[in-house]
Amino acid sequence: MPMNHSYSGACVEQTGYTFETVLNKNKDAIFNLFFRLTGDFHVSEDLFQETFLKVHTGLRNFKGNAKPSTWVYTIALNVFRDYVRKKKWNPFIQEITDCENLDSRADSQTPEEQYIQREEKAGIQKHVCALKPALRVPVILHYIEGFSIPRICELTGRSASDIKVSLHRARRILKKRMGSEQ
Amino acid sequence: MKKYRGDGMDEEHINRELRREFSSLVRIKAPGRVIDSVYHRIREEEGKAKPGETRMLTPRRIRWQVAAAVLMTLVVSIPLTILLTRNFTETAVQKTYIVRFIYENETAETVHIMGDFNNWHREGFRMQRIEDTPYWTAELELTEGIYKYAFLIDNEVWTVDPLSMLRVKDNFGNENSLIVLFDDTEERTRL
Repeated sequence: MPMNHSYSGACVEQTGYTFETVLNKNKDAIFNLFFRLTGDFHVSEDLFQETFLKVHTGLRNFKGNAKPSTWVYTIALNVFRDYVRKKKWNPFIQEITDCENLDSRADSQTPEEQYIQREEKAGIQKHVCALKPALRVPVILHYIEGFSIPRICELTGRSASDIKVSLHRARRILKKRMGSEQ
Repeated sequence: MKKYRGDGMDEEHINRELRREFSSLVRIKAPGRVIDSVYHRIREEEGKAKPGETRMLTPRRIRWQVAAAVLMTLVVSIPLTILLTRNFTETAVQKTYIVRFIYENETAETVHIMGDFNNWHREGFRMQRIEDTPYWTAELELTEGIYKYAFLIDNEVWTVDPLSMLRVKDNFGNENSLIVLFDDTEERTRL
């Protein structure tokens, strides 16, 4: 259970949003997003922390042009993009695309979390993790988060046609891989 | 989990099947320890540099930059100033020369030397006769330059310096002697 925090800083004068409000409303969605993107609890925790540190820093300048959830999602996707970029150039960051490490670092996880990871390892999550990040992000936002294509465009900054093509390719790849498991 | 055979399915069918697969996934909640970590890291970040501290530090950093700039200016400008001042002093102070004029005239009662250096006034520029000789002499302290001059014999007759070969005519057609006081050697070295 989350601790009861007395922290009350980062109150936004312009919008009235407090950090606590933004965190509480978006924490589960963002953590789920990271877990589906990476398939790894530890990496998800790191990216989650990074995201909300940026949210805390940026909340003072948040002008309320977009919904807070949209803004938080955009930050989260940027954090994930940075992570992928760093991983590409840094061999010490563990590879996650084949999901082989889903339960490799389970020592600090609760039994429930370990169970979830084991179950996911054999399911569709494995195939999603194997997709390239450019395909993985639209798939997760569309099928798991249930976002429409215009919303995905807004969050990722990509064009609608680009998203449609990515989804089409991802479907074909997923179909092929899931079919070959037979 | 549903297995796909592949080729016979159309796009819409694949889409539906994928939706069904994805809907079976549980939504993972953020663990409490992660929330605690976020707050912990925020406090750490704020502990490193609070906004107030940043404001206090920034001017100090600027002050040090200004001090460094002033120091650099002094380091560069002081030797430069000394160098320029020395050159200026050297060029501004003109050299002076002690010039002894000698004129030979056995019969003259008085001889005056006049020229550009005394605006052709004879007062105070009477030449002295060396005893028991026909030689008249005068010592003048002149700054470097070019001067026209002549001797006035017995307040009546003008004559050029017979010992000097440099002569020029003035605006009235009279011939005057010329003396050039100029350290040619030093000027060449300086150039």
